[in-house]
Amino acid sequence: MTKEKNQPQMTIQENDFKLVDAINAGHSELFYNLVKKYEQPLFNFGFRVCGEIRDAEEMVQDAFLNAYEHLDGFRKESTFKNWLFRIAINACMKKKRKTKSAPERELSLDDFIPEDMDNIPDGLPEWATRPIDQLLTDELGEIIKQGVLSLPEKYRLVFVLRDIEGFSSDDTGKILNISTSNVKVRLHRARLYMREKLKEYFEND
Amino acid sequence: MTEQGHSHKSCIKLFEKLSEYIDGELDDASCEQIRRHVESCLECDNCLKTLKKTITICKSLRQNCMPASFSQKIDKMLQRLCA
Repeated sequence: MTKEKNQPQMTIQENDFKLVDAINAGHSELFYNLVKKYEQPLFNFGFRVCGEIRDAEEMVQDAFLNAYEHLDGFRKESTFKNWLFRIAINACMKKKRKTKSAPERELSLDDFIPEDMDNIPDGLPEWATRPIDQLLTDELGEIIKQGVLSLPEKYRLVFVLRDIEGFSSDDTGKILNISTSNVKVRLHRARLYMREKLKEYFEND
Repeated sequence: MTEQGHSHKSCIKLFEKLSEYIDGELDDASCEQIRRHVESCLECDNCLKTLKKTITICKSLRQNCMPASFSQKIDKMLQRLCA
């Protein structure tokens, strides 16, 4: 075993904290490393939430500018990534007036309760049994994009963070400043809503 | 549960937990309860499978790549910021 292999691996979080310390100590050029690490996931998040490339770009730029400006106030109480996404969401809210946001409304669980068996035509729909690689098309991608954008904002943010960006329920709650149980409630309703969108698409296919 | 319809409270109670079940966030007893329920309830089994597929599809979406022109814009911003 080589010497390198014996050294403990630095976690992503430790690595980010080390970079933050160095930047705050005067090595501002290292901010480049943090930007390059997170610009792509931030852009993807912004595009999913705002729906327009220009808005996503503005969100990314504003998020990094704000992060740089307030980096000395980062207390390491969360991961750098969570902190950055929280800043990005604040930037997103500023963009809200510029985008065609879906109206704020509650999604009721009652709207998604399955029908009685008598009303289900042929049991499990065919799309639910088809392999994933046969389903993923540009057209379906567009359906999902529009479906996500039509989700009321509080559900959309949870859905994108959890099911597209891959944050845990706990981290999503911390980023949005809501409880984990609230994340789970919103996520379930958002998923049921998206399931309806997919059902409509495949049934009319 | 099918014979009692989906207005039945216990059926709806399980329906509320399907996402947590899929995410592996429920305790063993609740998981077992759902497993037993969907074996005999076509509606909930259908819902569980289509919900699972929905999540898999959404998680498999390709990332939206940043335009190259924006990447250059960010680099210029960094040059100004970190100079």
